[in-house]
Amino acid sequence: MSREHETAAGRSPAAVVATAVARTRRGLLAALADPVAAAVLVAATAAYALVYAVAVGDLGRAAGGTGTVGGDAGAVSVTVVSAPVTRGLSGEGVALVAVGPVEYLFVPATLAVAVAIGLLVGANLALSALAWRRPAACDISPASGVAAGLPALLSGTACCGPLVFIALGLQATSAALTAIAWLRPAAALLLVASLLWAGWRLDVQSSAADSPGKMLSGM
Amino acid sequence: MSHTPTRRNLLRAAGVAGAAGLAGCSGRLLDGGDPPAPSGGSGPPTRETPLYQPWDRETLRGETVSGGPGKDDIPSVDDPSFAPADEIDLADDEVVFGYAGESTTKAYTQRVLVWHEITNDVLDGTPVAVTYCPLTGTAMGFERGDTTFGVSGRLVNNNLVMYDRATDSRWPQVLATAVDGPRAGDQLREFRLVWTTWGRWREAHPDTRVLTEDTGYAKRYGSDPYGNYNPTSGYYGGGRPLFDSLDEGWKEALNEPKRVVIGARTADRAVAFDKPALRDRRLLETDGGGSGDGFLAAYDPALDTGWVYRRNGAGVTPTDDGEGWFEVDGETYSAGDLPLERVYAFDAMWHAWGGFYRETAYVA
Repeated sequence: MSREHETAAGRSPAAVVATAVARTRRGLLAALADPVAAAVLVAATAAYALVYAVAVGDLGRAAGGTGTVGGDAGAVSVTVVSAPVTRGLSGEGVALVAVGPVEYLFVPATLAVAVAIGLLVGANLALSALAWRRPAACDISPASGVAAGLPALLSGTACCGPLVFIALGLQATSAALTAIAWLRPAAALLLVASLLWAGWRLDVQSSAADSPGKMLSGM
Repeated sequence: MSHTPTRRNLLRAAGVAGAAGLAGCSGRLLDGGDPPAPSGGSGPPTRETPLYQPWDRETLRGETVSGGPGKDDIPSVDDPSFAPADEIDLADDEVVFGYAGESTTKAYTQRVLVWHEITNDVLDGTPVAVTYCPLTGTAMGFERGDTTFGVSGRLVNNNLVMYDRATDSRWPQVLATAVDGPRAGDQLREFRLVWTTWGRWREAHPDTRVLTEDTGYAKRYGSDPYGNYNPTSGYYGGGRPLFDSLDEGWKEALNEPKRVVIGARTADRAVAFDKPALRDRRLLETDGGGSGDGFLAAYDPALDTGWVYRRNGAGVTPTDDGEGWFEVDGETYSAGDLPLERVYAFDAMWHAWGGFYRETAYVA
């Protein structure tokens, strides 16, 4: 057993974090090698990005009745702004895609945030799935990984201000606005912490990715 | 029919003075929408007569808050495009802000303006800004001179704070007065926009042109982030304002923050006519302090709006047909053409009007 497999007691915080990162890395590599865990990772990431797009208002039902008479009424329409790269980099929406009754506003910056947070949620769930798939390992509840991704869903959209206050009928204050601005980074930090915790608890030897994992600490 | 008004002063304290090529797909490329460039000049033209301004600038600056988005994150439309009425597929109950001038008649759709708040345009040869604040339910027109207006991202009393791109001075929309920057204290020239519905506006002005969604920006027009006006719901339908009001005294007169009033202000006073009451009674008047002076609001059912006039002692009565006609000294006139001095007025949510004009008269 390597020193990594020792408990955190008596070790420096940096050493604990380094060990957690190493264990998490091995766990994620094992998850990617496990078809079920890998599927969970992909599906969770996609699902989170989808929910995020709805939450911030980029994805929803097409209102209809908006264009000029005789305009495009096909099943699919794509509208692209001029200079999409420049404007995409500045955080603007660059394309509106309508497919039947559904429309999606493509905002690269928003999509990047959604995928990044979605990957963290997916990684948390993939480690949970890996633990579930390996009887020798103790359970890792997926709840914390999912819960940590929720704050970002409340962060609203960059275009219209603190919509969550309107949705909830709450009065906005400067302090609340500041708090809203921290929801996304807070969610990311919580997810990273949750991931490291899961990686700490589930130590999988990279050389034996298809062998049962072992719980090494906090059991 | 009784036309006795209810007048209440909210506060009497002296206070502060004043891709597209897919098979079966459609695609298009939006032009324009480039980041706004600074415009030259000294800024917008100022009005000739002073406008009632009950707050000092320092207080207003102190009460100005971030609305969330940064400067120009809500992009103004600087190259608007319009289409004839018969080329637009728009529901009759869509809210539009109409302008009918000497040679130009246009309708600006709320569904587009809710995403931009400002459209820099030219009406009857005059450069203007057509502005809309969703949080206060106010649509107002301003002359802009050789500059353009943008959205600062800041709010005061829940109201849009505009900035001009010549001097970066800050202009709260309802106050129409610069509160910060080189133009602080200056006041804007305003013009009326009629808050009505597309069906009504088209019926009254079949030759109108309509703001299209070809704004240069990709937005989910028709998906209003604040709520809905058809029917009224979400933020528009009730509940409290998003931020604290400058003054909360309006609750004493009527604790319905989103109730719509038609507000007018002159050099020294402000008055708010309750719009639902105006619909019911067709004519509302202030008491004028017993002098025969004061203001009246005449209901125009064709556009579902009210026109405000100085009464100047004239006897005005609505005719019995309910069609928006009024008798003045034995002659019959439409609500929008009474032979009286018309006063600029606009629709506003009650919390916004009362918050800005704490000594306003409220007439219902």
